[in-house]
Amino acid sequence: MVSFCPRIVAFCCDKSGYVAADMAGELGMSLPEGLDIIRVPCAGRIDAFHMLKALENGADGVLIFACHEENCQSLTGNLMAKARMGYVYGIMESIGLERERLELCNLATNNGVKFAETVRRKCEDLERLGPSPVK
Amino acid sequence: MRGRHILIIGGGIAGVTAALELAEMGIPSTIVERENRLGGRASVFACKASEKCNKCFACVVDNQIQEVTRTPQVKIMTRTTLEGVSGKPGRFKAQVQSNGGKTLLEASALLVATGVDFFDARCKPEYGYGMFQNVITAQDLDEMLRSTGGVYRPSDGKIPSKIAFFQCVGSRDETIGHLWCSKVCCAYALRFMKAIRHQNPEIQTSFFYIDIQPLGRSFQSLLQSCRQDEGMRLIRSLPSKIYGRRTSTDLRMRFIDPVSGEIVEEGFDLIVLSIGMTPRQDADSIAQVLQIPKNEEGFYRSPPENSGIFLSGACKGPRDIANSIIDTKSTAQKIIQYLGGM
Amino acid sequence: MTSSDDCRIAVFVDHCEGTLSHLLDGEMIEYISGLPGVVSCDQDENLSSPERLEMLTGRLAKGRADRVVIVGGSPRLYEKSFRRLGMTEGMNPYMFLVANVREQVAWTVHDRERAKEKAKAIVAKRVREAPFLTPIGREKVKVPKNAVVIGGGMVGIRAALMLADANIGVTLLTRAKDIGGKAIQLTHFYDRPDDVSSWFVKQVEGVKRHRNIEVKTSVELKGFEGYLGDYRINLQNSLGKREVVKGSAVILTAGCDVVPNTEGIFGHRCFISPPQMEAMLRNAKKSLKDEKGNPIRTVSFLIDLVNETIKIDSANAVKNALLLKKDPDCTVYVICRDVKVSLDGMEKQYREAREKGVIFVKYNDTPRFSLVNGRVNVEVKEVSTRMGGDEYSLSILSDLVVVSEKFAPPQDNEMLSSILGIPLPEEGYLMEDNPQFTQMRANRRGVFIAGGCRYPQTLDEALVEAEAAASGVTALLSQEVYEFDLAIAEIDPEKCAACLTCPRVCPHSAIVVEQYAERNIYITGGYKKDFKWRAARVLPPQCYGCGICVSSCPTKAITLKHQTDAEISLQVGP
Repeated sequence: MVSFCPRIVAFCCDKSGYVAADMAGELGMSLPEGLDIIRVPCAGRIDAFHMLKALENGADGVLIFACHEENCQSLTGNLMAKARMGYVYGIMESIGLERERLELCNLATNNGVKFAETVRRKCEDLERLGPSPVK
Repeated sequence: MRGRHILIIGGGIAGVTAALELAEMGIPSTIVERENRLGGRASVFACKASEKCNKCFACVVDNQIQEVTRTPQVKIMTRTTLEGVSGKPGRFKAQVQSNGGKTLLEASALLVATGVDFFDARCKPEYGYGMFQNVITAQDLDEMLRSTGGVYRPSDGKIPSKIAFFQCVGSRDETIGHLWCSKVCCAYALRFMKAIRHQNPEIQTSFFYIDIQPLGRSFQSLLQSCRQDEGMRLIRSLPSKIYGRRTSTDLRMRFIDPVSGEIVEEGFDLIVLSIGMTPRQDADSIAQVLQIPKNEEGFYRSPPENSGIFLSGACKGPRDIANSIIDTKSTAQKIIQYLGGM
Repeated sequence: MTSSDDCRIAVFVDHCEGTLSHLLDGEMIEYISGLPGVVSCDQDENLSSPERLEMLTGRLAKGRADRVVIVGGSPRLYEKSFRRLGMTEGMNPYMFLVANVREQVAWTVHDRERAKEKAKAIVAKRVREAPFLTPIGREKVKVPKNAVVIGGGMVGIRAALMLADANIGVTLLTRAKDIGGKAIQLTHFYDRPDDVSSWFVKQVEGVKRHRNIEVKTSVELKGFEGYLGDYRINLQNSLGKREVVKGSAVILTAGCDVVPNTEGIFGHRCFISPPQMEAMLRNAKKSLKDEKGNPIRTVSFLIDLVNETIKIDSANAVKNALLLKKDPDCTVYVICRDVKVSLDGMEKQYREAREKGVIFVKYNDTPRFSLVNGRVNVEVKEVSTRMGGDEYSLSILSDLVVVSEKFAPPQDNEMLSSILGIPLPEEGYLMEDNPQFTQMRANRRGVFIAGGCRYPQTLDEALVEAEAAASGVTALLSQEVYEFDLAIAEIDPEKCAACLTCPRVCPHSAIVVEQYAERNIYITGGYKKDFKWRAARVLPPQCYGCGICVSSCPTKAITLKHQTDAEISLQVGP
């Protein structure tokens, strides 16, 4: 099998995920080149439609970086994202997409290491899973 | 109308918050920081969230520091120290010493936010800090967590299987004359244990304490979840000595087992000392320059309100990030009051 | 949206003091210049400094570009200064994008060729997005210098005084007949040697005499609406008369409920509450006597049965134990789980109490109580008496047992939460303890919370909180107007079905449903000419622009101005 470089769409909350991504950069941690960072004002902004759109547009995996529970500037934004993911999981199952292709990760502004590790782990998972069948 | 400018001594979380709060009120300020970067003690803290936020407020520090560097009303002078102050309340002339030489700053009020020192664990030689590699302080653990994202034994870089947290190292200790409680360490260590156990449930943690000191609103739920966790033992007993060899991964100690009530001996492969807070070593020099009274413990006491000198944060006595922030905001309001309103 | 042919994009390449020079070489610049819509591509060393950025905007004013893409570091570096500068230069501050090739490529993709490819892709994407940008305006709301403080306890009094001294007019509302609250009953503080009641009286007098403070007593809260700069509070007085109080900002300072523990045996006369103890100590001449005049020889303080993590009881017990110990014949026990010494100077007092002979007994299991000849026998397993598997109980025969009261979330919190739109988490105290709100800010802009309704705390802590809340208000009201970007959600009333989803999900209580819409796709005719359709509306000063409502709206009637669905769809594309 030819190894491939998975395309990961990472939705990053402006209050936590994006700052952590910057910190990962400052620490010089290596990130997979297929990573595509999308900055959103809050994880609650991400609609089920956006997650599915990303998968439809050829992303092998979608990551959502939200604030820790009880640490969201918008109180419920991270919980909203989680709830919408539940809905998307149902759709993914019915169209035969693996559950691993969508994941939520809670982190704080100073979790640069966790950001890099989560992305790297996801990248490995996706390499094992192979390219998205949607492509 | 007085020319409004506040000189903030100390660029830790208290000083930074003060500058931001004052800037929002339209009052410019200058931060004088001795080190080469802002943030002070709190800026090396790691996030201690488990499945949810454990309210350690470390993320707030990062936000505030980034915010203050982008606020034009705040002038930041790093590697600068306060040399002397002349003039009278409301019209201070402060002399500061930096790389570029001496500068004279005018200020309508001074805010002292010099913070604290952490207790030097070497002063308790029985715990072997500095001697045994695997005895570290909570601050070391914090830096490790922040920069590597995990917990490792310093001796060989492996993940420890049993961690012990020693409370009250340098606090509530008559032998070294520290007759105060550092207030934050219990919550701090419990959060650590939550975070570590969440990240790696294989690690067993033990918490050795005298009395558990509550801190803040969410402490009840934190304590409850710690008590329910089987991998976390809360032991009301402080071992008096740690036995081991330099790079030993088996550090032994004796304590009273809470279940059997007997003295038992047990080994741990990482010991974290929850060091307390002490007044700064250079507290005297600033106290003398500004004539700030001190209390019996050596922390600052508030000078009279008309002196134009204000205190905020941990230089008044141990406090955590959240309390330092709240305290600083209240001081900002007192400054406004002193300046005669907006 | 403008089609890409019409828009003119100026690209600025920031080398970030040389750190990106290896990535952004000549070939890269050529590539960028060739992208559709790009009219210019300038290079600079350090755009994050305001001076350099000023130069950039100067160049912009000369050119014909209407959009800017910066290729360089993190957008967080440029945003604030660009938005401030952009405004002065007649260019909309939101017409710019940042391609973050430093954090996302240069520092994290270590293979040089691949890094270049990725950087190109990121820049190309941003340039493709640029035509979708829409200008975003700025709005001002007037913030008159007046505030409302709800609650007339010591916390409310302190907040009112602090605000009044900062020249902000204050309306202090209380349900009680007079201000002062619960704390005014106290006479001694653990950390102050002298009688504090005179200090309280002085504070109350200070409020009544201050020219900036108006006190309204015996009023009930009935309604709350508005936004920062224009909050309107509906009140009802004891006679049933309604009135409306206006304020730019609000501080809520309700206290917590204190319930004496009188269940079961605790109802017996030998068990008293801490305030009863305070009163006895206040009235006692030298030694304590019971109602028959017999001296009280043994007093036990029983704490931590409820409210294990609240240090007020512990501090009170130590303080009162020391007062009792002024009579050397009195034996005092403090029966607790943990001695809370995390208050300034408390450790010393604790030691002093021990030296004076106060006996501290620590338990893990709840003690048992029985009545013996009109006295109370407390049977408690002291933690240190457990030796070798055997457990010994201590029997403490006391004349008087002081049982700590239960601090409960105020019952009013439910009412306050529903009227003010502040979340009420499970434990019953207002507003979750969210670090993002630094404790005293509520979810609505301009509303602050302090004191016992947040959680039970010592008076000193609560007063600091009151001052901090006052500083929050002062900061918001420091200018004549509150200025903010309209980077918020906007509802299209034509599409709104008034389903009430958005006011429900909005975390900042920024959406109201009003009768204002002229037209609506759901109106099929048959209505009178001046009929107004009910539709949701965003209150601009309240909106934080989080976008939760946008993705919750079932009819897609809401757009987030600074990040539309179309933009996200483009971003998730390849």
